Amino acid sequence: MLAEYTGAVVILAVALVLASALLGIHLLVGPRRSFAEKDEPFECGERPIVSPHQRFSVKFYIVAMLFILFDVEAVFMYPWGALFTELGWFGFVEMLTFVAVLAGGLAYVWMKGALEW
Amino acid sequence: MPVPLAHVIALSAILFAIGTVGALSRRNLVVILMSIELMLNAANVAFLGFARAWASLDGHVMVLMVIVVAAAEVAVGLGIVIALFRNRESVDVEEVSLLKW
Amino acid sequence: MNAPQLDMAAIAPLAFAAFGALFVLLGEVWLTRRRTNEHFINAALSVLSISFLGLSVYCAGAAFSDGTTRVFDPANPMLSLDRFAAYSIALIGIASLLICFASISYLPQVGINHGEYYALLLLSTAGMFLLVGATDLMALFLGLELMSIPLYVMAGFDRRNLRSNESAFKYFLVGSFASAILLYGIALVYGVTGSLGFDAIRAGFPPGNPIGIVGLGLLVVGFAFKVASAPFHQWAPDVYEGAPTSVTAYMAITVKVAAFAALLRLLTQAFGPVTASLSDLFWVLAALTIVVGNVMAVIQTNLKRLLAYSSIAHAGYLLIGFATGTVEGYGAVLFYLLVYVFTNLGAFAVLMALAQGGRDCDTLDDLAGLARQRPGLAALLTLFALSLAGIPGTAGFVAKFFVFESAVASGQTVLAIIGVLGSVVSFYYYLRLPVQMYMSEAATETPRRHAATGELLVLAVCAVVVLFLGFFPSHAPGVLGAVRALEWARSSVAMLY
Repeated sequence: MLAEYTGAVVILAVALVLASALLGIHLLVGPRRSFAEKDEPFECGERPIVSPHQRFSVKFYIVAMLFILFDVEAVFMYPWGALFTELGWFGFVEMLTFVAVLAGGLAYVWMKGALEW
Repeated sequence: MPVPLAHVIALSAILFAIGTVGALSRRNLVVILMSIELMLNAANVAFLGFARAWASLDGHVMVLMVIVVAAAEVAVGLGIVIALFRNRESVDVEEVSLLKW
Repeated sequence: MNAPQLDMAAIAPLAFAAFGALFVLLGEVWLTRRRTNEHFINAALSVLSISFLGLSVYCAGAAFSDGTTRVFDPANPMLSLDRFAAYSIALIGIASLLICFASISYLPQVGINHGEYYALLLLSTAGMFLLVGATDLMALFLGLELMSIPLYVMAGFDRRNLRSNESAFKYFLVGSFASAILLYGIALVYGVTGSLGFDAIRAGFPPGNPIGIVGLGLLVVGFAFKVASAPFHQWAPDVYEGAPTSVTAYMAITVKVAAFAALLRLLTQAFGPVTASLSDLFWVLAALTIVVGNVMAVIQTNLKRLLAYSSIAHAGYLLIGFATGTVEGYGAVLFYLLVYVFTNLGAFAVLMALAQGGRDCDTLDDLAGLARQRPGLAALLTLFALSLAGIPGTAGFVAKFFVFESAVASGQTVLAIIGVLGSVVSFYYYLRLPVQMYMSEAATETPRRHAATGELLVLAVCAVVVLFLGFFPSHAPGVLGAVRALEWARSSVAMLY
């Protein structure tokens, strides 16, 4: 009755086995030595000087958001790439227009200084 | 053997219900945003299921469009959340109450 | 594969608005890097936007008088420029253009003088053009999002102001929630028809299929959110109050035109055969919206909230036309939108002209003593308030008359009576504006600035249209007047069938 899901179940099983195997082998085989420096956050004797619970600079968010925006636009290039020869010059010009509009957005972001750290 | 359409649609309906309840009942802005994303993705699942059932490509193209639109929407939403947070230091919906309902 | 035969004229208005946005955006950074005077930058970008919008309106006007239907890609019809689209595009384009004029002096007055404003406005307008021309649910969804996303940003444009932040945030949450509901409706409609094109949906929509009915219901609910119809209206007063006045004007006016026009096209072109079954749903929505809008407006003391509830009430009158489901009803809706644009724009333009020194004019008390200080503005605001209320002699009366007439003609007498009663209640709160301006004096007299040229132009245009359509409901053929405008609206709707 649920034979349709055989594939999904196999993938799930492989994922579970693989993940637990990687973690399990590490637990079983890996060496285990404990000393004072090893128990510190950086595990090497370097002392943390401030609390790790700090707010991130807003610049991280801006860069991350810009990345997401331009990254996701690339999704439109995959169908075009798959049919590149069939679409011919028409598709090429269309994609150039699309990229030009994106470049306009990038130029705005750049000139506004949002990419400067 | 493919998964039957009814199962796909049931999954999408469940996801949509979870998203709707989350968007209406949660208090944290970021969680509400995630719930709305869940609603959009529920629609994507339905589009893909129907596209296969009808053997039509429209559903697939629509999903690409929705993914891009959702990314733009989230970017704007997070921008608004950051602007609000800078002025107010909170992302709790209950505290956003200067304008009374 | 051969290149498809594309009709570029079909997307001319859309292309002008969209590329205009790109030009304005790049022009803004180019000008600011040269450190020119920021008032000059503001005016230059505004003029640039106005010229692009002017080109769009010109193309739409030419297409309207031409009367032919142009489809962008006939092999795969998603977007067309027909009489109906041209009418809506011209209306939206003119409203956006006038708001650009009024913004030239408004933005510096409240200290949000950033050029991105015009780019966002053009982008949102492009989305509306796409929305009203869409003959495919994919184009419809894209248009809706392209309209909404820039608007979320514009609502929060005064980003140091907490009220503006909150407005943007609420608009964003409600708007994207509504989009998600609408998208799920599209998915279900796609599921029962196997297609996203309006023509294919019309041919293949099964009348009794529960999934199809739920899908259509979700689509209507999504649009009800966008036009702020009760019971999906609670966001509107908050969002309208917090946003800068020019943005409030923009979203109260153009969004309503675009969303109603798109809903109209959807209901006739895609769901024509099953629209009759929605009549009861629209009956309830219309009655509820009229009652809620008018009753809640009575207790408001903030002008922008008052206008928000007033715009909810007007959405209710517009929904009466949808409840009739006849060509006359839809034609009356389209004519009502024309009147709504100019009347509301006039009222908001007065408020914009009264903003000064970083402060919006947004409470009833701010109007006290206006008749003595600025008699012209007081008289104009009185005119627009009377037109919003629907006093005979103004365009508002004619518009309401046509809508109620179509309702009675199609047997919706009760709904027409509810509408008339709602209008009677609305006299009370609209007349509070002139009473405040003419009969009370401000406790502390603050000097008011003179209205700028752009604002005066907008006020003049709106006042002329309101008076002209109100005074000359001419029946003579060929003479411009309310009846002729109604004929335009009807012929635009008739071509959808």
